[in-house]
Amino acid sequence: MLEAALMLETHREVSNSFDEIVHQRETCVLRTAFRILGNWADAEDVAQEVFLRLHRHGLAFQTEAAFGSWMYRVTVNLCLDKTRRRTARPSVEMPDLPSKDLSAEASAIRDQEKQVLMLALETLPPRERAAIVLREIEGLSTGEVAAIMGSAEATVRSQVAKAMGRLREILSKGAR
Amino acid sequence: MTEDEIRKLFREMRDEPVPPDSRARVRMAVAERTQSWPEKLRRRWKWIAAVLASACLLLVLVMTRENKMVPPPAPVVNPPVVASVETPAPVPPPRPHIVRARRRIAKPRRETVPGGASLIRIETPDPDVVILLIGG
Repeated sequence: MLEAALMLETHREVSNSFDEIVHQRETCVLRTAFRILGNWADAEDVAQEVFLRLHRHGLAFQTEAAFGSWMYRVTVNLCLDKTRRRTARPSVEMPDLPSKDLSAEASAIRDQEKQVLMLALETLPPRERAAIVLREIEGLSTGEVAAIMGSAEATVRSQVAKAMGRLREILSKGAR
Repeated sequence: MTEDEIRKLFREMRDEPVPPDSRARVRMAVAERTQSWPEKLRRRWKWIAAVLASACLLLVLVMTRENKMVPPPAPVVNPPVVASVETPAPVPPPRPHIVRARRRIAKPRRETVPGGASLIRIETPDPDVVILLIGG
């Protein structure tokens, strides 16, 4: 609602509203890019490009949903381009999952588990990774993910299921 | 790890904070590239002034140095070789059309000389020469 109101502002105030949008959305864009790409430097590059494209686009969106969808779509596409340009996917050495019985601090275990999960995510094919990031981490609906990725809902469902299966497999190997 | 556990971890990751350095870098880079020209100029006026001043100084130096320099000797310019072209002979002025008076040659006059002989006198253009034909 706030963003929709911002978009109706006069041309003079466009630059201010743009700054506000960058401020509001940078976390979401950076986080999504980081989950797909696996490192902050690349995520920053992608976030910059997303906001530059938004600036060029001219904030001309009918609804906030359209705006949010556009942001996600550009972010995911730029991330997929970046992963495509990488020559070979680095082989990720899975560290062993911490044993809950041995660890003293539960939060430390949780952090380690998240790190392992991130490493496991990096081993997935880019489109599966993007689908699971949008569906499971960003919490978007299957329909929204399908619209963002330009594929059918069934395809997204299949990609998420495959990705989940692979993650489970990788993490169960690590837990052994 | 079960699927539910993985999902739970994903949900926790949703709210994880983004490093403030990354956010600041993105914001600065975007601001840098979206600023309008006047703002950019205003921000970099010191650099622009320094560059302009040094350019002026360089220009003045170059100009003063050029003035001090001895002018190089004038290059010998060979007269251009002109292909020998035959000049057309001067056309003589047209002669005035002189209308000459026709010489009138007097007809020989036949005179009778006493004694019966005839004398024909022919006058020539030369007044001193007169041809006389004397016949019987």
